[in-house]
This record gives sequence, structure tokens and C-alpha cells, in this order.
Amino acid sequence: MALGRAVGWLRLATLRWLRRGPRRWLRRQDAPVTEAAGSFDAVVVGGGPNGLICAAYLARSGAKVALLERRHETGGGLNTDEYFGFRFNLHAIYQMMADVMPAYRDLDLESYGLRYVRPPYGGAFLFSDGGSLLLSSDSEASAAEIDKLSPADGACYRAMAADFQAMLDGYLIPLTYEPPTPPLEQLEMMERDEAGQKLSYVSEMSFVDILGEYGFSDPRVRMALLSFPAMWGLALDEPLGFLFPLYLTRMLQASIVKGGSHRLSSAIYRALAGAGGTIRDASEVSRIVIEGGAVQGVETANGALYKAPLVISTLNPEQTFVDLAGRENLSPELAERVDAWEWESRSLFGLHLGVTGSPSYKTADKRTEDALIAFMGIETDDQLLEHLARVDSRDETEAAWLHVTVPTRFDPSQAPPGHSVVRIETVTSYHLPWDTISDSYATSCLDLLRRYVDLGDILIEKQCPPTYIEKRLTTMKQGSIKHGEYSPLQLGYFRPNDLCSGVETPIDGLLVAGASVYPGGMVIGGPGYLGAKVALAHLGRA
Amino acid sequence: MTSTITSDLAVTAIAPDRSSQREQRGAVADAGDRDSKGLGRRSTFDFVIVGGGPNGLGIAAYLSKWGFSVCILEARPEIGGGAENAEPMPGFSIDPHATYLYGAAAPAFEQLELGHYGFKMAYTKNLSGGISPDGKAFATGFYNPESQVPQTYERELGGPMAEIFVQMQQNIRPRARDLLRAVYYTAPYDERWGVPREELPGVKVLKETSPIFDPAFTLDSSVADLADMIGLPDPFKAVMLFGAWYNGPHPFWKGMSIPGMACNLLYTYSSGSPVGGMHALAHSLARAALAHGTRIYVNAPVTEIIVRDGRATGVRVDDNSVLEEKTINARLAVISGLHVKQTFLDLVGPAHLAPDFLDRVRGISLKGGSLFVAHLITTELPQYKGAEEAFAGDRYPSCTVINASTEALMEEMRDVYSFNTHPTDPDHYIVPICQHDTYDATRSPTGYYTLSPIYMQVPVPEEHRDGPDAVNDAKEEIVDNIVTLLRRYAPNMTPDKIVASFVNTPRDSEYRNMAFVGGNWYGAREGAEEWESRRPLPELARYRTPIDGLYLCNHTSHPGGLCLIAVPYNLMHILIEDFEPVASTTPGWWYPSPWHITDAEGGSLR
Repeated sequence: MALGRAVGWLRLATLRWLRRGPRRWLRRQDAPVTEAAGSFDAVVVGGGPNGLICAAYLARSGAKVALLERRHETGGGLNTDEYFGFRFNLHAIYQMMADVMPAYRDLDLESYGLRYVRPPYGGAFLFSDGGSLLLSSDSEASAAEIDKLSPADGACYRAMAADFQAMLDGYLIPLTYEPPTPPLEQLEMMERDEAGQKLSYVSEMSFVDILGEYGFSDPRVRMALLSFPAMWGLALDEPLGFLFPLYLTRMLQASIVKGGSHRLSSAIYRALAGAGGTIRDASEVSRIVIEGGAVQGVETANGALYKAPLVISTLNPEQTFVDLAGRENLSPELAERVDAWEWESRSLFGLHLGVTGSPSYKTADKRTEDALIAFMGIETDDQLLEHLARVDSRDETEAAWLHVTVPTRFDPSQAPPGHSVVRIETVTSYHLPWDTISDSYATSCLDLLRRYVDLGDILIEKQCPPTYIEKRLTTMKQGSIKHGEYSPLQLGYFRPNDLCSGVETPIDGLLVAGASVYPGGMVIGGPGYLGAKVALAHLGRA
Repeated sequence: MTSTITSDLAVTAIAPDRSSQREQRGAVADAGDRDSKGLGRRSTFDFVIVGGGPNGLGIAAYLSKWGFSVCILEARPEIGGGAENAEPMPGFSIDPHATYLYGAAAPAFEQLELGHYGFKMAYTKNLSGGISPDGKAFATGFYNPESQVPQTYERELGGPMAEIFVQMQQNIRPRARDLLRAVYYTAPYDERWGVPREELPGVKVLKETSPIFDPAFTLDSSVADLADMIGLPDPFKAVMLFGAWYNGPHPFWKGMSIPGMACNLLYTYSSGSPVGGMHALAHSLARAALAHGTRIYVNAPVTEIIVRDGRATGVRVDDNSVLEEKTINARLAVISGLHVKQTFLDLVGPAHLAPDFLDRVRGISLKGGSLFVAHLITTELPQYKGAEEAFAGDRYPSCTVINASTEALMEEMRDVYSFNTHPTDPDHYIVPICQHDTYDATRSPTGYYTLSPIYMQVPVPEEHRDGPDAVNDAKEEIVDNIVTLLRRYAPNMTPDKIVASFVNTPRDSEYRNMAFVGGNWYGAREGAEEWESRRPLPELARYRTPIDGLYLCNHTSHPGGLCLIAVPYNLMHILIEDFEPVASTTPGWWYPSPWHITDAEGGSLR
């Protein structure tokens, strides 16, 4: 059939909806009567990846667990919308811990239909002169590519990649799935070998400093290496150096989920349902019931009471502690920390296209099309830093830097035969008048894209400004990418704060296990896994 | 498009599979559950089910609860088929296809314990109402005992016909579930058994309820005949005819009075929607199936039903599917949740079927009602002029049929059937304005309303006089006409109250869901020739097929669509006949239809 004619149902005549400004985003509450919905060993609030993982572990251990989700579909940021055969992953797509997250094996997710596909190259950097730089998980091959631009930088890359791999193997990956350690203990632990000492050394540095430390000098190479942390909105000049190995090395190995990101969450969902867990969608939690300082269960907006001595919240700290637990149940120390929670200074604008044919990159080296992410629009590290400064000053109203993924290149099932999905993202600010500029911003994305890419006919277009993400996924306040800023004071032992980073909170029976909790977001499956461990200990099922 | 891909990540270890349920299943289920590749990738099941809509999910839940190993292969990224919800704007849940629960009489709710798996009804305060062009408004109330609204229209009718109508309602109500189970939840009788039509379960139960349903009349009359016999005036009559047409049965065709009345009864008997929307029904069925060990694979389109020596032995899945295994074996049977033409013409293929059978399958018409569906996001509910009293308070209907006149209905039918075009004059529209916000708080954010769905019948795309894309090209015009008409009845619906609109045309629906051929939601023409024991063909009516080990479980089989969980229940009777000998357990929770006749019993009737 004429697909082009079919796709008009998104007659989103106006974005007035997004213009309505910030409002309390709770549903109508016209069901005053609370009815008992049963007693459980534990209730998990929120059906994103961490909530699903946590509940699935509990159910498989034999615990009686209920998972409550506000939307009509679980998955949280693992969201795949279908529009006439085109599958748009509206939030998460890159799986950088795909095969290393313990849930993958422990929950036997493959038997529930989960499959990953890993593109040959992690990143391609497109230059306006037709040149390009290709990086992959093979560090020698990447170094050889860098050699073509700058042999000196190639040598630097070899040294840095070897160090990064040792840091990952020895510390960063195993620590992701272990409870957080206080800073001093962590420093002590890292003294035990060379990789640890180096990690300790770079931890205090910024991403820019680390490139200087290893001696990188070519502006294009420096831009490329900084792009991976920058695309997630991380500050390049803050002392976040310990994230560099994760964000560079793991992103170069990232996969996508076959069939779309939602497949990962639905595999966990099936593991949970198959293990006897209770799942309730369209069930927005309106209150965590606390009596005598201890959790008794939760109430939902549609008037159901789920009794449980243990509640595990995967929402953000404001929601968990202020909206649901209530200030009256917070100690002054906890209230102070919750109030100090910082949202991300940068967000993402997403533009999802359904197009005819397959996009063609205007580079001499056609292997760029086999890269998971193609970066374009910015060609030097100085330009990148200037661009981010403009984003932070909130006057970046036209797209200047794109990261682009064509998932159908690696998984044709995400579009009708002969068609492609193009996913464009830009780092931007939440604090722009998105209701009025979304269309022109999208146009600027397309103009920039067309300078680097030959594109077929666009049949369908979906814009996801930061305001869209915030409304659709209410935990993602201000169009958050990771439930809250990655800053030294909100990472590691301090995520979400020193009182709660170990899953336990000062409130008896209330645990936290979302992306705002150590080790953080990006669908790494850490908080849900660690949350389950602590919950199981509570239930005597460790 | 080809792609130059890539390596799947290696898997190095797996956790032990939960095997407690399988252990109870005996020999049939256990052997070779894992093939030589191990790694949790199973490629052999007792039953392989093609399609994860409500029918596929329902039969999977039944069979896995019975103790068999079952897998579902679904082409789309999400299970549910027509029981789907979409969120076109953040916070708003619309039903692109099915919108109300029609299946409250289904034994599945009890047998599969769907409440335990999260199914929860939201009952309307007042189910429906109508307004005629001359300003007469009525509200129907509803059947659920929680209703605070009496069936007001009974007293509003007045006149000499009221007595018959009220009597009929009062007679049917206590027998409503029996009647629905007799009509919908019983496997059709094989025509060759020669059971007289007066002896068919639905006909018998109807006659028992009320003398006016004499088989001599009901079997040959149309819904319109029935309305005229009662003396029903507009707008009541228009809404009754409309209710039949939009759910399948043609209101003016002979022999359709029982199906036409019964589908109205399905709607009133259920009187609401699952909390959160129809997709929640699919979720509860899926959870029941999963809890009993069913494996569900999405993004796994089936391209072939494998037939060896006249027997279905498994299926092949598309090369692009998520599964490495391109062949999934069925030890006992393949159950097709796809429509009948797709099942035989595309998946089985002509090589395995007799030429005359193939001709008959090709001859099946799926060109029934093609629906244009609009959805409006608004900041107010429509305030219907002249209906202030009829719709006061809790009487405000969930579904309000505007322009409810038999004349408008006939104009619309004339446009669709005689002139092969979509109505362009708003006077020719009779449209239901549905909303679920007044009884389910999860559908829209505070301060907003979702008028969804708003249906209109249009021609089958291929038969449209202006070409198959005509309705798609006229989307905006049709929505404008609907809004114009809505404003005539509810003057507060000014443009500033409408935040956004969405549309799915028949073409869109077909594209989204391949079972909805031409946007047809119930899988057949509206006539008696494709009803009950002739649906989709006399030799296929009992869900068996000419291929051993291949069964039908789709809305092209009796009793059709509407997410009734009826096809799976009816099919279970047949599967119990065929597979009880190899099952290791007897399902203690199962009860058959009291009207069921086994093939052995039926054969002796001849």
C-alpha cells in the first residue's frame, strides 16, 4: 500500500499541549474509596528497567512481590512506539552494559526473547570535507584509524585504551554491581594495583584534562573522544574522569535491542510474570503509607491499597520522598539532601524519522554507515566546548551538533521493508520555549543532517523535545536523561545522597533503586540489581 | 534494504529455568524442551500459536494452564492485537481499535483467573445515550449492579410500545449471561448434523426469555424488523441499528436480528472498559499465559506453517525475526491466530490443500465494515444542548451517539454501499462520541479529556469510487465534518477546546494490524452467510482444518471479533476432544458450554 499516505494519523496539529506549562502531573483523583489490593512481601514502585529487574529477582526467589506502574505499559525509558511499522525508540536505545548486567544471565532473558545486535563500529565522526573517523571496540583498529589523522594521537589512544580496559576490568564493571563504598575506603582499595592507582589519579580529572594527560593534540581526535561523554550531557570540565573509561570503551561496544528497546523491558516483564510476580499497570502510586516511622505499603491514585512491609521506589528522589513519603516522614538531614537534588543542566531533543530507502552518508569511507552512532556538525574540540557553553547559556535555538543512529541498518525489523528509521538526537537545554521552537528546531536538525547525509522521503516525523519526555516519563523531570545530574556530589557514594546510596533509606522499610541511586542511569541495570539484593536480605532470602 | 550486520553477543551462562510447572506435565511436555543449542533457546513446544492478539493469548493461557508447553509468535513489537492502547501525546491513552469490553460473559475471566493477573473493570456510570436531530435525548443506564442510574429510557419511551419494550428488557436481563453464552460461547454445530435452526442454543434461550422472540420471526428478520415490531421510535431505534452495524451485523439484512440484538447486549452486559484501556485485557491474558509457562516472542513474524504428510508440524519465522531458530516445531498442533485467508493462502500454501477448498477460501469476503476512527484531545467534555436533564450528573454517557436518526444512518449506508464513498455531508453522519474519563481516571491528565474513539463507517478501500487512498486523503476534511457536527450538538466544543486530533483510517488500521483487512474489525461480511456454522466456511466452523494439527483461532471464525475471548473458549472444547488422551492432567477448573455437542454426539444426530 501507499505507506506515505497512511502515516498522517499523527495529525498533531499543534503543540499547544506542551505549552500548558508546568503543572502537577498527577491524574484525576476521583476514586476516594481505598480498597485493599492484597498483602505482599514487597511492593516495587515504577515499572522501568530497574523496577522490573528488582521485582523479577524478588519473584524468582519466591517472594510475593507487586510491581506498580503508572502508564498503561511498563518499560519506562525502554520505550518503543510503533507508527505504521516504523519503530521509534523515544528514549533509551544504546545498551552499553547489555551483556554484563547480571540480570541478563540471572533472569535468563534470552529465553524470553531478548536479542542484542552490536554494530561493527561504535562511532563515526563525519567531517564536512567528506573525511571521517571511525572508532570501534577493537582499540588497535581504532588507533590505526586515528593514525590516519594524527599518528601521535594514535599512539596516545593505544596507551589510553589499554589503561581504560584495565580500569574497567579491575574496577569499574565489577563495582557497578557492588554496593557503593565511601570515598576514603574506595581510595584505599584502589591503591592495591596499578590500574587502581591510575583510576584513582584520573578520577579527580575532567575529561578534557585526561586527554591532555595522555597527550592528545589533534582537534578532531579530541572532539571525537569527548563526544561520548558530551552526548549524555556530561560536563567535560568537571572532575568526572572515572566515567571516561565507561563512557568511551563501553559505548564503543554498545548494542541495540533487536526489535526495539522495549524488548529488553518486556523480556524482564515476562521473567517477572513467569515467576509469579504481580504486575499492575495504569496504577499510579499516590502515597507511600508510613506509620510509626515504618513503611506499611502504598496507595494508588485509583484507590487501591497494597500492603507490604517493604517498598522499593525506583522514582526520582523528589517523587519518592516528597510526593509519596511526605515531608512529615523525613528527618531534617534527609529533607535537606532531597531538596539539594539537582536536575541535569542539559537535556536531549529527539527527532525520529521514518524514511524511504536507506540513508547514505556523504563520506568517502562508506563504513561510516555501519557505525552505531554518527556524529556530525562539529569538527573540533573547541567547537564542541563552545557549543556546550551555548547550550548552557540557553541560547542554542538551532541544532549545531547531531548524533544520529539508523537502527534499521542493524535490525531491519524496525521499519517496513525498503524503509529506514533515523534517530537524531542533540544535546540541548530544557529551558527553551519548546512549544514555540520545536518545529523550527526540528527543521534545523534536518538541514544539518542533509549536509552530511543523503536522505530518502520523510514519511513520518516525531519530535521529542525535553518537555515531551518530561510529560511522558514523569520521573525524567526537566527532560532528564539519568534522573538527575551526574556531578561529583551526586555520583557514587553520594547518589542520591550519602544516606540512601546503599539502597536503604532512613525510613524503615523504604528502599530506593532507580537511576537516581548508585550506580545510576543509562539502563545499566545496577540499581535494580542492588535493590533486589538488599530487599532479599530484608526478607531473609539472601 | 539489506544490511551488513553484525554479531549477536555471546552468552556464556544461564540461570536454571523455572521448571516446576513443566515437571507436572508428564511426557508430552518434557521431552526435548531445549534443543541442542541450549542457552535457553527453545524451538519445540506442544502448541505453537501464530499471533499474539486476544485470541492467541487466550488459547495460550488455556493450554498452558492445562499443562502443555506453549509458545506464541507475534509479528509486531507488542502483544495485544486489536486490544491496544497508544499514547500519541504524553499522558493520554487512546484505544486505536477495540474500546469497550464486550466479553464480560466469557468463562475465561473465571477459568483463567484474569482478576488475579491484574484485570480490573472500570464500570461506566452511564453507558450510553443518544441525541436525535430534533433534540430528543436519552440515556440508557447500564446493567452493572453498581450502577446508580436506573434504566431511564424505559420510562422515557412512553406510548403503547413501552410496555413491550420494558417487558422484553426485564425478561432478558436475568438471562443475559445465559443468552450471550448460548450465542457466542458455544462452538458452532456442524451443519451436517442437521440440527434444526429453531433448536440452536441462542434461538432457544431467546424464545425462553420472551414470547416475542418466536423463532419463526427472529430467524428471518432483520434488526430493523425487530425494532419496528416493538414499535421503537428514533432515536432509540437509530441507536439500536447503529449498535448492530458498528459491531458487525447489518441492521437491514434478513436473518441478522439475533446477532444484531446480541451484540448490543454484549455491550450493555459488560458496561465498561478495563482500567487503563483495552490493552489491559491483553496484559492480563498474557500474564496468565506467562504464569503458566507460555513463552511469548514478539518481532517474530511467521512466514510459513510447515506441513508434512498432511500434518502441521511447526512454523517458519521470518529471517528478520529476533529468533535465531527459524523453525519452531509443534509436537501437537499449530494454532493460527491469523485470519483464514492468510492462514491458508499465505502460510500453508496451495501445495497442501485441495483446489476446491482453496477456491472456497479465496471466495471468502472479508470486506465488512471499514471504520474511520478519530480521537480528539479536549479541555472540556461536550455539553450537549437539550440533554441537560437526560445527561445530568452521573447520567452523562460514556458513549453519546449524535445525529441519532434512522434517516442519517440510512444516508450513511447509502453513501457507503450504494455510492461507494465516505459521507461528506455532516447530516449523513451518525457518530458515537466516546469518552472514558468520567469513570476511569487513568486515561487523561487532569483538566483534559480524550474523546476517543469517534467512529464512522466508510467504504472498503478497494471499493471506494475515488480510489483506495480517498479516505486517507480526506482525513482532515472528515475530522472537520465530525467536529462541525459535534459543535452543532455541543456548542461548547469550539476550536480553542480542541488541543489535538488523531485519526486511524481503515488503511491505517490494516497497516497496523494485518488482521484488519480493509479496516474491517470483525473479520467477515455482515450477513448471515458468514455467521455461526458457516463462518468462515462450513467445513472450518469447528476450528479444525483439512490439515491435521492445524486449528483456527481468529476473529474470522465464529463468533468473530470484539475481544470476547470466545474463540479460545470454544476452541478449547475441540482441543479437549482431540488432545485429552495425550494430556497428563484433566483441567479441574474447566467447564464446557452446556450447549456443547461433541463431534461423536453430533455425528449420531445425522
